[in-house]
Amino acid sequence: MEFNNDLNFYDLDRSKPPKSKHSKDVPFPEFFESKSSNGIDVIVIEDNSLPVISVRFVFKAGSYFDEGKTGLSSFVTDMLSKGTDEMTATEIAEKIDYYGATLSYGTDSDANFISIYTLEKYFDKVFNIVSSILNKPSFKEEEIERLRIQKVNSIKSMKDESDYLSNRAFKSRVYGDSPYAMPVEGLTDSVSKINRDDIYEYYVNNFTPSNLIVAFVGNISPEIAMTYIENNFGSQSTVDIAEIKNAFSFKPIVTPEVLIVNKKDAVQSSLKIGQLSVSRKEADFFPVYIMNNILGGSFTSRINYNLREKNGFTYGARSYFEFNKFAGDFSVETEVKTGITAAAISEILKELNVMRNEFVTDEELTSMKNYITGNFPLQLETPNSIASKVISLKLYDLENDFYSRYISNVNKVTKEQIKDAAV
Amino acid sequence: MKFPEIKFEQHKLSNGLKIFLNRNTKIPMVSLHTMFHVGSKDEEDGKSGLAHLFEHLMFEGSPNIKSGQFDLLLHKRGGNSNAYTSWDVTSYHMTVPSNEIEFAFWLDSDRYTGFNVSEESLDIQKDVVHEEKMTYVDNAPYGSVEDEVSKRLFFNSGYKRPVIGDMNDVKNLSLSDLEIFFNNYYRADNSVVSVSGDIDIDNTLKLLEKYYSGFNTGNMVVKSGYNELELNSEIIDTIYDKITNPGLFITYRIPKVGDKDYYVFKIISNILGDGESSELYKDLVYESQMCNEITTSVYGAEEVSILSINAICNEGISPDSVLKRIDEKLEHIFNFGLTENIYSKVLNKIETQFYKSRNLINSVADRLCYYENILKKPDMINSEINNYFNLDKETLISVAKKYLQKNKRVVLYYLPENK
Repeated sequence: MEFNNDLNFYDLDRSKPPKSKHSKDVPFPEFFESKSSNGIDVIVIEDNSLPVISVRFVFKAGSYFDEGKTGLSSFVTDMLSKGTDEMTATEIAEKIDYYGATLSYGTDSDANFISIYTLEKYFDKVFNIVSSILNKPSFKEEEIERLRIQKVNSIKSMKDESDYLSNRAFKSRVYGDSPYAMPVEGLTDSVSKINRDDIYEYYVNNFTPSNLIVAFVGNISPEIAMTYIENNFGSQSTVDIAEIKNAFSFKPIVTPEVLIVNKKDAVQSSLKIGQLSVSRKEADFFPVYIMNNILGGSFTSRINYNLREKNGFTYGARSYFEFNKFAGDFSVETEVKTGITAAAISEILKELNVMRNEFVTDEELTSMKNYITGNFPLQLETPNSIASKVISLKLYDLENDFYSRYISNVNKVTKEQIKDAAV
Repeated sequence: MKFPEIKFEQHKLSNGLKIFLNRNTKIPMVSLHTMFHVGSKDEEDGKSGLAHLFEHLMFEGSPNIKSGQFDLLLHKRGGNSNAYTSWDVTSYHMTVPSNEIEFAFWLDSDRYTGFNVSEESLDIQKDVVHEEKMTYVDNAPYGSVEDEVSKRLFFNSGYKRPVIGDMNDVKNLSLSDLEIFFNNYYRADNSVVSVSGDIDIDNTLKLLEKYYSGFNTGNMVVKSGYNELELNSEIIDTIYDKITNPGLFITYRIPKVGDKDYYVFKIISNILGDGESSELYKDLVYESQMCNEITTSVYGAEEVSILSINAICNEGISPDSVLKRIDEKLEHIFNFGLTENIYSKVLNKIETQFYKSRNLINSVADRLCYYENILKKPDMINSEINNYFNLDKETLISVAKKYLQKNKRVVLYYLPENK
């Protein structure tokens, strides 16, 4: 960086912005990856700056494999910590908390996640607990009933939120009869019917070594991490499962439709406008990503500018692509006062049409590339966010150099590609 | 116990503006925070929502930057920005690639050198704020809790209003109200700037002098002192909302941020509601299944803080039965103290949580500004953690007992409308 050593502020001309200095290269950090003897993908990002370790277990399954029992996948994930052959649910919670650790878990349409975050000094003890949870869950009837009551009550509460209702209506229309049409947490009816056999079967079929990615982050070496994996998970036999095939067909809607969910007394309308898109792997990622950022994916995007800054219709409007493993969707979302619903919809449709029919300006394209590449290093600030990126490579079968080529690939995108991405 | 420290430097510009610098070269980015020691609690009655609306307008034009240009210019240089308003402070932050640090100083500082917002921008941002309130308050289940709690827990200070303000007040705010607010509070002696990230200390200081010495100086309007009255009897009210499951919201007044007793309640909150083995979760969510969710939290503020216990009941459970159970639990802790096991557990949790967002450039810059503005003790970024480990079980119980009394709290039952 070169600086003018004679900074006299009386000469300061505020009317012109200072020029940019040379930017620094941002390499994607090195990480260790290997496979266990029985096929588990292991990733290690060693960082000794703080005395903590986190481990994430990701199973490539998710609610896509609910097989008509909506909410099953999520139910199974939540049941894992509710008792094992060695410990009751209360003992598990007590021990995890005693060591000051955090155990988190969740499910989305393509994966089941379980993670721990712990002080390095208690790592061995906490890892043993999570290994018991994953290897020997007991799925006791009493705990199943307990979880069912919790889930049914949460789902009922969700219906109080208008964006839950608009999202439900949108997904079920766009994704037809596929599991992506249904909410991951299930519906009150479907959750009421889940039984122990369903849970056990899902667990056996999906929580397998060949489905598993494990990422270690923090104060731990790759050698020690591999030893923990081999000792705790290495003896499970590898089930040869046929390659996962997409069993559903996805059909785009041909004529535009309007779905209305009436929520009495709501003061705002929750809007969701969009369509079927492609899977994460099929997507021409960089043009699509930049196009969406210009359209509605950032604060300065056209849709947010139009609806919020120009018209004051909303606190915020956004568009995004939700890419799943086998299909995806695109949508614009916002919340507006009920009285201006029609005006807001018309502005959104107008922006969608302009994006489809006209080229973005050179200024918009350059600016958005700078925004995306300039902010990219912020996503590499913590070893945990680096781990999320590496996991996504494995989860969606992407090329290993996806992130090391990220900045150069963003910079290559042309406005012709952007227009193609909008159609 | 010894915790790793964050190194920072403290300086003053020629106009008296306080500066904090923290060099961290992990990624080639810089985080810039400018925090003003003014928030919604400083507003006059009838002009509520002023501080927050003002924050919105700081992105809508300044002497050299036209309305609508702020974020466009910033994005083009690879940066991003945001801001927040609380009862006590208003904070603006920006993150930019380190080669754009001078640009960030230019862009951020221009808006503090003069007020230049149009009538049209004011009207649009009033609409945006109104929509913001509808999204997070009016149209959200249990969304009015903050509003309903504030006006019952406080009555003689600015803490009685939620930050976003009353929409009738907001509607009537004029450009001249905003300009007076700007002249009163947006000045060098009422703000702190901190920069964290990939910086060269000497050059950063020179650039700060170049861009930030144009702030207003002079005599600041004296803020009205904190003069809240004691709560003498328990307030219990019922609110009807568009919800399915009943809710219970209990709030107590507790000591202000930085007070040694304040940390007692961070620990109590953790013991009651953090983790699946915490006292209230275990009893109400797991064992009796009376509640679907239970959360406890401490909201720290400059003059007084709040401990909240929030519960969403399961179907068929009334909030008063949950309240009774919580009171029994508290009574038990007051009478029998805490076991060694519970106490070790909470200290282990606090130690783990301490590392969670440690060293992140945005959080370091924010905390330095906050501790300086509120406590005049920037070193709290390193020393605060000791406040937890210097307590003992007996002190904890006696302090908790003193503040968590029924006649010093507000209890709200949220019940479904038309049922």
